[in-house]
Amino acid sequence: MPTERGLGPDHADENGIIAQCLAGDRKAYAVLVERYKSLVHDLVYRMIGDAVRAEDIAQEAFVKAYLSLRDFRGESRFSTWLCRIAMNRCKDVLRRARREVLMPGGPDGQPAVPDSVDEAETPAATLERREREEALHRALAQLPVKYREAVVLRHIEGMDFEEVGRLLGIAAGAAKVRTFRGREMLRRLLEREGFRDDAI
Amino acid sequence: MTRFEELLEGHLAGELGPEEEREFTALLAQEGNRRTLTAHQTTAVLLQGVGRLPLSPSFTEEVLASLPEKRSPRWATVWRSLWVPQTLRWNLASALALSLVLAATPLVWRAFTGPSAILTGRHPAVTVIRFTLHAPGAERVSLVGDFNGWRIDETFLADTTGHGYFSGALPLKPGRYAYMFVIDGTRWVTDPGAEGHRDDGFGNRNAVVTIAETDQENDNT
Repeated sequence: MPTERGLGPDHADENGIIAQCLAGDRKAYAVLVERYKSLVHDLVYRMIGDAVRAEDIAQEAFVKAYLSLRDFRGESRFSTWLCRIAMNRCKDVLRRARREVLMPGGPDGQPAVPDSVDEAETPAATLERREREEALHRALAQLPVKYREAVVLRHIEGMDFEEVGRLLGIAAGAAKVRTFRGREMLRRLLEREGFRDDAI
Repeated sequence: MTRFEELLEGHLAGELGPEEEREFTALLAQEGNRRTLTAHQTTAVLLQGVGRLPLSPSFTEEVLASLPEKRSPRWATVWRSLWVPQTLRWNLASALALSLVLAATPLVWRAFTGPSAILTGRHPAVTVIRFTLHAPGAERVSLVGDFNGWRIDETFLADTTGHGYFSGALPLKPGRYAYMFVIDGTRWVTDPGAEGHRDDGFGNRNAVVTIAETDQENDNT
């Protein structure tokens, strides 16, 4: 289970770090990369479904954010702004993926499922969990992007509707509707995969 | 989105107030609503249980290695680009375009500057001469002479004082010019303050102004 979700606490030191970056201190940027790399990488992976490319795209998002720091006016949190850059990059990739076939999953073509951190998990439970997550991965990939992004941000990244709305440039109410519709579609897709409500 | 769906979303997010929670509970009396709630709850739990993928340990180092050395002000970037040696990439089309530009440049230059400038390199100085005439009661005064083909409707003097003192300035190249004033388009008047006069052959005397020959190259020396 993930231990830290959402955009995280409001870091008061970020304006100072950004000022240091703007003054040419690249090492200062490492603090922000360390702080948000897991969030950005996971977000990108859930959106594009390709673990190998997700890491590249996440790194590109960090580099683009650094190069655009002058344009960050602090009207939103840095993490919101950063995630928006990453999401836009994902949408570019997904648009292009309509023309080229995006290899889903990890390097072996299978959905990348993290190893369990629960040492007490039995092999049977691990297998079952992997099957669930692989089914979920396939179902997510079939959701239209506008619903997928709402579901991923709300349920996997754990953001509230205000954050989801800010990130997607829509009202919190619209974020709520998209989340509901997306989850409804996802449920039907999982049913088609053979998962009943009581099984998941 | 129905009212039930709205309440369901609020319930899952833990955002319902006590009154809304009671309303939601009442709606759960319907079997279909209970099934919908269970389905959404289990899907949400499944989504929330997804683990995060591990990242490569060098992720941060790779990002930092991709950043430019030092952020510079935009003006500094432009300034640097003026002095840093650049590699020009070319192809046949760009080479042809450059050849055309180089071939056309002397022609364009000649068209703008005129042949005398090219042949001599001398630029005859132009002197601005101010002409004035006191003509109280006149409505308009024009200046006519060798310099404008004696056309009475081309060069007009202005009465800026409101007391009949008409004046105007004209740039003239070196030479000797005869001129006259024409009041209200009909009355020809000789400039009483002219440096000299000459007979026009019809019994009248034209005023004369002489602009001395000067040379900019000499002026500069």
